[in-house]
Amino acid sequence: MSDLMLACNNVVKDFGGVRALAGVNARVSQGEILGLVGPNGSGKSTLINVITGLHEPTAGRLIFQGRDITADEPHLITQLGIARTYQVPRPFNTMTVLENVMVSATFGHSNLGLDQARVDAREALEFTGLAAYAEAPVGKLNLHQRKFLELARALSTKPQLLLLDEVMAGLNPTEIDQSVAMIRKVYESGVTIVIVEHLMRVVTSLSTRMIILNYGRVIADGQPEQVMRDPEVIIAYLGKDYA
Amino acid sequence: MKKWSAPLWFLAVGILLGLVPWLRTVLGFPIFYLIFLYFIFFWVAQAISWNILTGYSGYFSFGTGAFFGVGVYTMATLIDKYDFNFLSALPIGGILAMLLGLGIGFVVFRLRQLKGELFALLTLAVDFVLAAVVRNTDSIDGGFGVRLGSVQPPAFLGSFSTMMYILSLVIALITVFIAYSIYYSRFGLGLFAIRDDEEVAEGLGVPTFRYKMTVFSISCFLIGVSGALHALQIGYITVEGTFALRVPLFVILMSVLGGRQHWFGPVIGAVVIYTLTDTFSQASIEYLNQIIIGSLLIVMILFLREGIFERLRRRFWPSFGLLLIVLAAQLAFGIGGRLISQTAYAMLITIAFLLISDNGYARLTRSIQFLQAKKQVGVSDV
Amino acid sequence: MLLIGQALISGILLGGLYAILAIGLSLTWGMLKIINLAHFALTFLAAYFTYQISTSFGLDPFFTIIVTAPVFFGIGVLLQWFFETFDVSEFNSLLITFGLFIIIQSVMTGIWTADYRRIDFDINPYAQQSFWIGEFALPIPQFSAFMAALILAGLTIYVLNRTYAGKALRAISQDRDMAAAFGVNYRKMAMLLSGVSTAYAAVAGVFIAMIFALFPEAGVEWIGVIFAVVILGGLANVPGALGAGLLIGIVQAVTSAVSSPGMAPLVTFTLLILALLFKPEGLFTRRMSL
Repeated sequence: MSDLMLACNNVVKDFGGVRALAGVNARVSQGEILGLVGPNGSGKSTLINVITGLHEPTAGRLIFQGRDITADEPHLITQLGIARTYQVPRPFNTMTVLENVMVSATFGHSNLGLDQARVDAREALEFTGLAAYAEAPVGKLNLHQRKFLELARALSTKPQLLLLDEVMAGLNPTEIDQSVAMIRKVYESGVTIVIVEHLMRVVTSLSTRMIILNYGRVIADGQPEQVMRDPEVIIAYLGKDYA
Repeated sequence: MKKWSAPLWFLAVGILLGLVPWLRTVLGFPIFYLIFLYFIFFWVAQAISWNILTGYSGYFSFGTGAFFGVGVYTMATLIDKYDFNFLSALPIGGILAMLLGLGIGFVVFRLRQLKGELFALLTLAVDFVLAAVVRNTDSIDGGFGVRLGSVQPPAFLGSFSTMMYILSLVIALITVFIAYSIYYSRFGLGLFAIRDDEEVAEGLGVPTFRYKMTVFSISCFLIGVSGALHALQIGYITVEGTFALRVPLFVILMSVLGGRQHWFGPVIGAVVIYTLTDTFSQASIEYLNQIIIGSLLIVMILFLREGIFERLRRRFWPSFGLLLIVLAAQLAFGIGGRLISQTAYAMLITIAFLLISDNGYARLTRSIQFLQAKKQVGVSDV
Repeated sequence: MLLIGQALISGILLGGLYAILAIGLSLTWGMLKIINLAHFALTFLAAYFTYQISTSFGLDPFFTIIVTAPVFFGIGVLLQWFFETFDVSEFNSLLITFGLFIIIQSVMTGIWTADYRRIDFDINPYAQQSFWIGEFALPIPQFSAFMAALILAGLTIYVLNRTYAGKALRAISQDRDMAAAFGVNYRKMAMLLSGVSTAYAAVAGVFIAMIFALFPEAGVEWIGVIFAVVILGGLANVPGALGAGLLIGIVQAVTSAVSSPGMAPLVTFTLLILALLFKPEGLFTRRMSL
């Protein structure tokens, strides 16, 4: 249960003059739900983008299940077993819901033929409760459903590690509860999860462990209760007066 | 959906069309129609090849002229200066065009910040560069143009016109078949994903660089082969004529008109546009042709960006009927000039019909049904 | 040596003409997100106007600017109104203006035919006159174009940076909605900018009529060069457009003199391709960090 899945070793990322990640050291172990939290601009999304290969780190290494993925192309990283969802859903607009998932099903794991991909895609839609919308154009889905579509796409790549980037943004309380239940369901099916989230009650209740980022650095790492009481974390969020 | 029987349909169409030259010897219609169809097949091949890249992957290319030019000048140079057999020169034209595409793609597709407009402008720039290179290289053109002597067709292909007809038919069929196959394939699905959102596609496992290179190569190869054949048709080849904006413009318009999202769209577009062009191409009103082309492009982008194909499918029988009625009316009253022009006018009216928005069309059909219902009520009253 | 020197001078002067054209295009592209291919057709339409007015009324071509510039300002306003009404995206503007380019070109062919048209030398004596600096000739039309470029560029830079209208324009190009929140009327400012841009194109057209013989397809040859200038200079970067215009003018003239006229487009477009690949935001713009 505590096999090391992903290791970020001193990951630095610069964009021109801006240092978004200033030496991040983090571990993700198999079978945990890791909450990734931090104020705006702390580097959470950048870290996700770097892990999934969208940007190459300026320095540092990323090791996934023993393999150095630092310089790997995004599509390769997905096929190795890391999937992500986007904060603002980005479906393929000219396709139906089913076709959207077929793309990830056929390309995201091993090279599946279209027929097998269609089967896998339907399974993923069943899992996320979208089976009824399979033939619908994505335009017909509301925000909550689109987020579940993002999830279905990510799941159809049969990932071992799933990175959720602010899934709760823009949802009402009922939808949030449904999303939390869905995330638990995914976790129980054997997927390790990293969840980036602003909504504290969600993150603290879901996570088995939490990492706090500030200014591109990890400032706390541990159990939710102890991390939330860490003075440096409180300062980062609320300012010195509350420490 | 892809049918296993598809290759048979293509073969059937091919054989049917292939019989036309033979029909001509039997029925004796003018050779003009053979040449007209040659051009239709040429434009179908060009438009479909372009759409395989642009419509499928979303990378808008203004550079058809460059790859077309490579094909044309390969054929011209090989025949004129090296006494090559023209049949073997055809694939070479395609390969050279493909290599140019690969070279460009290798540099360009690696860059993430190359947005759509920049790729379009870049391909346009390549066209200009290539024109300048060819103009300045004496061993290819040197600004003097290349005059191709008559080419001896192999015995079994009959006359020159017949040979050109058959070859362009074969090229067009193969090109359309490739477009069809890609459309229903896994490769095609990946391309559409790239078109819709490349970053997400890459993140979901689509090998975007490899796919872009592949589709670009296929497109360039087909454009090059078609261009190589066309060199024989043109006869006297100049830099200005070859690298002009005319070919890219027509190809873009044909695909925009027909529809870029379906494999068959550009075929419709090519048939319509070429028929229109031929009608208005009489020397004195050539510019009128350009005005219509330009206006059509604008109208389509504004009002029917996805092209007429989908709507044509939905309103097929009314459209086809309208076309036939207008055509028949012209024939009956003896107006509209030759058969081609009459067809052109009928097509224009049908396009206007297709431009009626879906809402407008729904209202139209409802009012027709309403009138029909009223008539029935009237009958039963008696 | 004399040859190169003269080439340099000619290049700089021609560069001025390029700059006038590029500034308008660069501004509408950078600020309004409209890629206006019709810009070139309109330039030559203005050139034909100039030719026609001069020839029909025997007017000094310089004076035709008084008529041509306002007319084309109006055309520019109309064009932007059209784009606003149909809510045209950046990419579609490229296609639509492509169509417009073709239409305008055909209209010009229809009215003036494909024959070369040049204003008679007795109406346009400037074409054959030059200022002299030592051994080097500065042909009057080209020199005037260059001066006009400096004046227009200077004027534009001043307006953009020192006046309210300029600030409003820069605001809308960065964040349309935010600017609206501060009371800036996007529609009006956009139409104004488009009008100015086309008026600049018209000015360029007047000079073109004085320098070159006109034929309908002439615009095509300029498309590549001016886009090269716009991109090398950076979108909406007026000093950049001026600098890039001069640079390209010099490159072209020197290449023609040293090697051959046919090589000039080769060098220019290779520069453009390199710019698109490695510095798409322009040579003269600082690369924006994240």
